[in-house]
Amino acid sequence: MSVINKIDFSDKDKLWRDDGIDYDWLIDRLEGEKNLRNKRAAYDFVLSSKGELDAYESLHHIRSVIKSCDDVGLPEDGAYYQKMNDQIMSTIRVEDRKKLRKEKLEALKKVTTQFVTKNSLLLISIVYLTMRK
Amino acid sequence: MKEDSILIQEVIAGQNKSFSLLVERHQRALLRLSYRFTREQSMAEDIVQESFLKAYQKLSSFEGRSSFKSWLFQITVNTAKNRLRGMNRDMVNVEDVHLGVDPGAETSMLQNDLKNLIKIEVEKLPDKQKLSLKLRIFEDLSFKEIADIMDCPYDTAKANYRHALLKLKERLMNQDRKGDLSIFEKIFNYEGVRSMELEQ
Repeated sequence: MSVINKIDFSDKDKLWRDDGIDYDWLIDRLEGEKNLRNKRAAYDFVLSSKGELDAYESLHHIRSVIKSCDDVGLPEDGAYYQKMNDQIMSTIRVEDRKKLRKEKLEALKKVTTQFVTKNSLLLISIVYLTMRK
Repeated sequence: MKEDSILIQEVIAGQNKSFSLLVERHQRALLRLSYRFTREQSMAEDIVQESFLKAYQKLSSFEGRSSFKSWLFQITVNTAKNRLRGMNRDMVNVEDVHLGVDPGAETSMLQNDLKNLIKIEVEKLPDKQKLSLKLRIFEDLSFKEIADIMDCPYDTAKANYRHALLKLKERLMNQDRKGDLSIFEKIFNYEGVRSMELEQ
């Protein structure tokens, strides 16, 4: 499957790309990524126009504001994480025991089935031989 | 400190205690990631617990093609999505996200308006674009890691991120044309951004 088919275009928005600015390259520059398609080296950033400078600055600022929106306030308390770790390990131990019990039960079933089959065959043979006599 | 791969081998060999070290190492990041989906701490905790349990059960199938952290993130993202799908909920309802606003400070109000606007616009993005944007900007992951988590090629992860950022720029510009206050002016004057840049 080509790359283009895996990009999420579900909202069908037209990309704002009719100003002649190479946004792929600008964003690669912003993210410190190499852009292999473009001959301009990402790290050798030379602005070719005021439009490019404006576009780069606005992308840079939007990125910074998005970053500042990170409002995930979770506990910093070490005891909280220790408790969570204990709960996870306790669940794992319970699941391990369940798995072990299931495996033992399966093994027991197998042995029992083999035993019953063998003995049934033996019994049938004895009965058959006895009746022939 | 032992590497993840060594701890994984120890767990596979039967030393469960080593898994506790893996949990200790990654639980904060996983909780933060889960919280981004649920916006509820207790549900985020459940997702982390379920993800670690799944990881433990499937540990022998971990081939090490991606980092253990990326693998865990992938499990967590899928677990969170399934959980939310099951509950018939949207990923995050930004309308429910309340920011603390300092009532006396006009600048703070403007900043919070701007933050709210950006949050709303981020949440409107298609799922894959939103996820790649959040993983890149909030979790500081590389595009290789994002690709591993999203189970897609590297270029696709990058393209989803690029489309997300450009779409946000476009939408903010459209808002800018509609409103009387310049969003871009606000963004450029945003003190948080200025101070952040100075720190970099």
